[in-house]
This record gives sequence, structure tokens and C-alpha cells, in this order.
Amino acid sequence: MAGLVLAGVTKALGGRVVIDGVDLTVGEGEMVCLLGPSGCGKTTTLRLVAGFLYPDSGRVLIDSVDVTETPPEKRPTAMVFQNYALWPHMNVFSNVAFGLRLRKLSKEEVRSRCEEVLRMVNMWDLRDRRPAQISGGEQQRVALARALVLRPKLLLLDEPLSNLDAKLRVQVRDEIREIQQRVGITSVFVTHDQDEALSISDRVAIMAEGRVEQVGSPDDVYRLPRTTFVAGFVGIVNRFRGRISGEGVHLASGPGPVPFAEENSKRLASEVAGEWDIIVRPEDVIVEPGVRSPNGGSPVVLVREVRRGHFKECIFGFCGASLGREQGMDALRIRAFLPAGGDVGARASIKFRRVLLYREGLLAHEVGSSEAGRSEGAPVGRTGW
Amino acid sequence: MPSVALLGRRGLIVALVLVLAFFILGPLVWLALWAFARSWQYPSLAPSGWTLSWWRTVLTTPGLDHSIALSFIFAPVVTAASVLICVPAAYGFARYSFPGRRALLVSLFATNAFPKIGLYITMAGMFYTLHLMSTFLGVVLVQLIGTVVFMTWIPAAAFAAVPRSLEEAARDVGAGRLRTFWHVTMPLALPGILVAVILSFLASFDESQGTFLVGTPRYITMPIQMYSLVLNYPQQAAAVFSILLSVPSVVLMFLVRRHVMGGRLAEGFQLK
Repeated sequence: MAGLVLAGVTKALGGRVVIDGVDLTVGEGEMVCLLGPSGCGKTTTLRLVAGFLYPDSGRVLIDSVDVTETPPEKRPTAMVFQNYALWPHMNVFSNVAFGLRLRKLSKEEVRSRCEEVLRMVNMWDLRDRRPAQISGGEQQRVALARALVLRPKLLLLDEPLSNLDAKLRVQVRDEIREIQQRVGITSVFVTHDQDEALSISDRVAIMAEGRVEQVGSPDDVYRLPRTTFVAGFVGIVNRFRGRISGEGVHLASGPGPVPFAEENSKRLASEVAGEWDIIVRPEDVIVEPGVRSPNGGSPVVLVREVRRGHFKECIFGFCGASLGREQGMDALRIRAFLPAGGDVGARASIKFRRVLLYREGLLAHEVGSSEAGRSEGAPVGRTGW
Repeated sequence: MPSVALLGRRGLIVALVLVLAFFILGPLVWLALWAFARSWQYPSLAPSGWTLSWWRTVLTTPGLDHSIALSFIFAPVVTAASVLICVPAAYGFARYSFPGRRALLVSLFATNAFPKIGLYITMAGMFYTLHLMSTFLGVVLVQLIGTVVFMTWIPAAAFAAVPRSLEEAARDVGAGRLRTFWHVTMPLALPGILVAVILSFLASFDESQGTFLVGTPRYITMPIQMYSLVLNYPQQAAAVFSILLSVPSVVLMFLVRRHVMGGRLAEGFQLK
């Protein structure tokens, strides 16, 4: 049973096609993030669902009911706005109660339902305050309560965390997720922050230029990005042009091939030998310290390291390769995540555990797997530096 | 120890405040003194004596009660008519774009671009043909002209300042267009509308040229009464009348001060 279905939705604004044939299904009780850079159409999509915009073509179904032509006040949706949009002339309680009062509920019922949601977001004690008298995080929670009190079939969140500072953002994010799961409400969450999207949602829909590039669980989207755009937008990648053979990955303008970490990768690689767009996640780069590793990795040298809290992002260059820029920096730089860094200039050798091959922007093959690599115990936990 | 420059700056501010106070309060004080003066002639610095006789003279002027009543009937009627006509127009100007929007908005100023008396004389010509001279409706119409500009411009700005997301939030929780306007847009634009209402009320209350031309001899409002008083009596009577005429303005200002100055509009939402 689907909570929300978008079928072939198209919308042009000001002569420009903003939404270009979007298909999306959100299951009941599921939280789906619309993730994408600014201008990709994610907020427009949300506004089409809320009813503030009507699609030029395509249908919008909520709980199997066609609401394409329905005005916003008749849709079973509730929205949390980016700027919260609390009514400044009403106190917290009245902001939450407004929708219920419109529905002509009895005074006692209005009060008990408001109390229920305001207690849920810990705002009951501040119910008599005006929005101007509470903090941004508190306004955020009131906005969420105002949306939930109507018991909507669909909760829409339009970048609700973008006005909060970094620490509060993580806290409120977790609160939203917790409440969403407790209430079991179907939700669509718009964000441009990949961390937010990956950590809060059941599935992520990545959008670019008015189209949905990929829909999948956060793990799937991260592990197998369907397009090079998705790979680049979600997480950090090493991206090269190069040739694949049984020996390994021959990077354009790099020295000899970078070998695969696993034996069975070689067989698969020889089957798909040829020119590809190659993407390797930093955690799939296996680093062995020292000049010559016993298993014959490709020699590299540490160029720079970036602290990332409990791990380090290490950037390597190839030994002996010219540091020319004609191929772009990525042609000669490899990023890897390591538990501890080393001195700049330190030597090491690398192998690729898992390589994604793209042609014309679309994923064609996955060579190697992270699971097998992990069972071998490399590289995280090995601290040779 | 404060520096010389700082002292200088303070001195300048104090001097400016004094000058401003003199220009604003000076005439009022002078007016108040005149209203109770027996006589006050150059070169004496103070009136020769105090009396309430001018108040008696003014308050017993035949027909004064009638003019006061008339003024207090015209002003609310004109203001109400102005609100009914202009506030919806203001909402239209603020929320919809239609061909000729800017031209229309600017053309509202046209009524103020010419000397009023010229406009009124032309209107009087029209009113004769339409049999509106010396009628209640005629006076209301002529006073209405003076209120249209600010009754449209100020509320239009107030409506435009209401963030759309606040209206969308109301639609989202189930309010239709009308309820959204009534419960969200209107209360938030109210301070601006109140300002326009006061200005309109006072403009109508003080309007004399058009009313004189269209309304006399049947409708003698307070300002017109004042003209005859000023012409027929010494200055003291005019002073008393000015004070009487300004009472409603002061009362109105005090009544709405809280709403207009509250600054509710800026509270409670973050602008993108």
C-alpha cells in the first residue's frame, strides 16, 4: 500500500521545466528523503505534493486517492516549512490548535490533542509563548507539532533543519526520526545535506535537474550509485578515466596498473576489460605501508591528510608519475580512509577492493565487493603508519 | 573622562532635540496660552490676564453642536467607505500581478498632483449635473477622494509584507482562502491598515475645501465653522477651536498606539 505516488509529474515555472517526469512511490509509514543540489526541483516536488502548485501533467495520489486537482486545504498533508512559518500573532498553543479549531472540534478535544503533541515535542510548558519568544530549535518543534496534531496521512518536511546550527541540527534530526517512527507516519523530507538524508531516511531519492536519478536505501545508494552524478553527490569518491584488465586498473596518465585486492575480481575484470569511467570509494582503497608490499600493490606517496574525527582522509599521489594537471587532479590523486595518518611523503602501496564501472554516466559493472574485503580484516584496524 | 569630541557630539544632540521640541511643542504651547488669554499684545511677553470667556464664546456659537455632530458622522462614514473600497484593492495590488498594475498604483497619486481646489471645482461641475451638490453623498464622495491614496498604498505595503509561507501554512492546516485572509493575512497587516484608517479619519475630519464647495450651506462641518469663527472673532477663539478640533486626533492616536507601535509584524518568523 502506497502512502504517496507521483506518476509522470511535470511542472514548468517561468518557462523553464523544473520537474521533468518524476515518478516516485513512498510506502506507508516510510520516510523518503528528496536529496539534491539547489535548483534540482526537490522543493518544487514537495510543493506539488502539498498542493501549493499544480502539475502540468502527471498525477499525485495520496493513500490511493487522486489529489492532483485538490487544493492544499483539502489534502491530507501537513508541512513543516523551512522558515517554520509560525503565525507570529498567535501563541504556541494557538498555532497548534488553529487547524483543529477550523475543524470545529470541541474545546476539550482541541486541548487534549494539542497537549498530546506539545508534550511529545517537549513544548507544553512553553505553550503560552509567542513564536518570537522561543528559540529557533523550539520554533522548529512547534512547527512539527502543528503538522502532527492534524494526524495527516503524509508529513512533508521542507529542509526543516537548515536554519539550525550544526549541533542542534543533528539532535533535532534524530528527534524527528524518532517521532516519525513512533507515530508511523508516511513522510517526505527535502534536504540538500547528504548526511541528513542518509542518516534519517528509509529510502533516498536523489534528484538532479528535475529528474529522479536514483531511489534506494541509503546503503544501496551509497554502495551502488546508479549514475556518476549520484556517486559524486553522495559521499566522497575517487573518479578516473581508465582501462580495466585482469591485471588491475590502468589509470589514464598513471603508472602501471593498480591491482585488485581479491582473486575473483581478476576473472570478472578480464570479462569487462576496456575503457571505463571508474569510481572507487575511499574505503575500498586498501593501503599497505612501506615501499614494497608483499602482495604487490601499486606504489604511492602520501601527499596530504585531512582529519575527520576518528579517522583520517589520506590523499595519495603515484610515485614516479608527473604531477601535471592536464588530466585533472583526480587522475593522479587517490583518497583513502585510514584510522591513522602518516608523514607527508611517506610511501605505501595500494590496491582496489571494489571498483564501479560507468559508461555514459550509467553504472555498468561492480568489480569486487566490500563484504569479502572486510572479512579479510583489511585495511581498517591495521595501523602500519 | 569623556573626550572633547564626545562632549561636543552630546551638546549637538541636546541642541537638536531642543530645536525640534521648540518647533513641535512651541506652537502648541502658544496655542494653549492664547486659548486662555484675555488679551495679548506686542511687546508684552505674557497675556495681560486669563479668562475662560473665549471657551464660552466658542462653545455657545449657534450651530456648533450641529457641526460637531456632522463631523463625527462624516469622518466614520468616509473612513468606512474608504476601507471597503480601498483595502480589497490594496490586497489585489499586493498579491496579484495584472496588466497595468504599476500604472494604476501610480495614478492614485494623480489626485494629489493638482491643486485640490481645481479638482474640487471640476467635481462641483459634475456634481451639479448629477444633483449631488449639498447632499450627504456628495460630501462623502468629495472627502473620499482625499483618502484613497494612503488607504490603498499603506495597506498594500502591509499586505505585501506578510510572508506567503504564513498564508501557505494556514492553507496547509485546512483554512480556505477566505479563512486564511481573515485569520492570518488580515491580523498581520492590521497595524498598517490601522495607520491608514487614522490618516483617513483625520483627513476627512479636517477636510474643508471640498466640503465647503459641495456641502454648504446644508452641511457645515467643524473646519468650515472654524473659518467663520476665525474671520468673525479675535485670535483667541481660533485657538480654542483648534484645540477642540485636535482632541479627536489625540484620542485616536492614543487608542491605536499599542497596535501600531507593537511591531508584531516583525516577530516570530525568519525571513529567508
